[in-house]
Amino acid sequence: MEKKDLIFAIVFTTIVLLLLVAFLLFFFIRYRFKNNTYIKEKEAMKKFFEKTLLQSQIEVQEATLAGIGKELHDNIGQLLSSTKMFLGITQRNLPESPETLNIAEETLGKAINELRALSKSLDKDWLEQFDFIQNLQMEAQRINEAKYLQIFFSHPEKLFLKADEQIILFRIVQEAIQNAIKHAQAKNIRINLSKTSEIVRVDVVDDGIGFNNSIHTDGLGMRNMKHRTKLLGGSITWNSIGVGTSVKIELPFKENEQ
Amino acid sequence: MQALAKTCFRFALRTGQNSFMSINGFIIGLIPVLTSLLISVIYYKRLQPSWLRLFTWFLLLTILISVVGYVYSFDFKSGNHFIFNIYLLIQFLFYFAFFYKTFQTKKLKRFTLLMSTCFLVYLLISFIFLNGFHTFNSLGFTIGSVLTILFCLLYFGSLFNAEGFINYFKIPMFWIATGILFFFVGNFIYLSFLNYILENNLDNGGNIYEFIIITLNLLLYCFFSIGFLSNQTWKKRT
Repeated sequence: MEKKDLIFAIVFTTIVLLLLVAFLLFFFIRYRFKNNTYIKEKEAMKKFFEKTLLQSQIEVQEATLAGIGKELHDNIGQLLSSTKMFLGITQRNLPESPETLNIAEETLGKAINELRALSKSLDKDWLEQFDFIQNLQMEAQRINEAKYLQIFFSHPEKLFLKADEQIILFRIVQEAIQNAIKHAQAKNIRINLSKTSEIVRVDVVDDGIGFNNSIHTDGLGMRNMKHRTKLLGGSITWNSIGVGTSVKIELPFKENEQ
Repeated sequence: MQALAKTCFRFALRTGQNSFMSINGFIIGLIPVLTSLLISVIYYKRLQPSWLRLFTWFLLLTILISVVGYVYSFDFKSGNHFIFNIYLLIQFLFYFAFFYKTFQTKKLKRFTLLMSTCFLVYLLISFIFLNGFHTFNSLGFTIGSVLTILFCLLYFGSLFNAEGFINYFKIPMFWIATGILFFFVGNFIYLSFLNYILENNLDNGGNIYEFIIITLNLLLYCFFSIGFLSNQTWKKRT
């Protein structure tokens, strides 16, 4: 090989090597793209499967609740109504009805009303025309009437979510209210519903004793709330620093799709 | 940039230290590294973990050494090899440390550490007993290049085998390793035959090498800049 050919060979080999590196990188990247597409599809299938599973779980739960509601209304409700009727007869037969009997009759009346409201809220047919705002207002009113605590509910005029989504959201908020009543010993609960063009947000804030975020993370109630929020494709967070607890629920929302 | 500046020493070596790289070539070669340095300074705080910020200082050192090397040759009309011998040591040890931090497995980390130690020992022996400090350590550069290419390939291999969804384009290290791989692969053949080329005056005027090195520098620092601009943190996917 002549000397001048050597420098040409060096340059040529350098170019070939650089091209080889470029090709290797190209195939390397292409392989990863294919792999990424496969992973994305797999994840999408997994999500779909999880969503279907959760949907079924919710449906079973709703059906069970509907059954319980029917039983409460048709069976226990009837029994309580009969009892109230007998109490009324007894009252009329006595020359002077004792005060305790009057209180018992009044309390029983309240219990029947509560039971009716409860069985109505568990009825699936009724839930199909479900309106989140209207029902939460009723729920707040029902609780406020007991005068144990006060619920303040602020909301926009209308919530453009599908009925089944509104039910799920209602159950989540119901659970948050129950937690505030049962565990937090709250005196005031503020519920704020707001929406932007992309997000529906519900904040449930109470003034109770709060809880330790790092310890109480896996109760049945909280798990249910997480599951239900996940089903709606949203996120839920609890925040409790010192006094009170705030629950933030955020759901994706596309105005055009509703 | 370091290779661009080495072109100066090469011309000096060939022509009895009387000929230098053109000022235009030097400035053209300086632009990509300056751009890269500027971008790394702008995104300095975003580079996590913090040891990656050393890259900014490394680029600054590269510019300083290149300028000092050029000026030294020009002003003193004498060999500047010792400056580039120092840089050779710093540069390769920096890259090796960089790969050491990047590798996830203990096996690769140990291998990198072992190779780096061997390389350092060889360079010191070569400076003290064999080559001397005032002649550019060409073999040291070749060995360093081979090791750097090997580490790049090992890095790409670990990325290739990594599980889960990975977007290479958002990993700064991917771009940096790509730049380093192109640079050293492109340099490798020419520098392996360097002594033969110089002895036989094959690359008259050094024009071919100047073209190669300016192109490779441009590639190297473009990839570095893209790496600094990519938006995923280093910590997640290095």
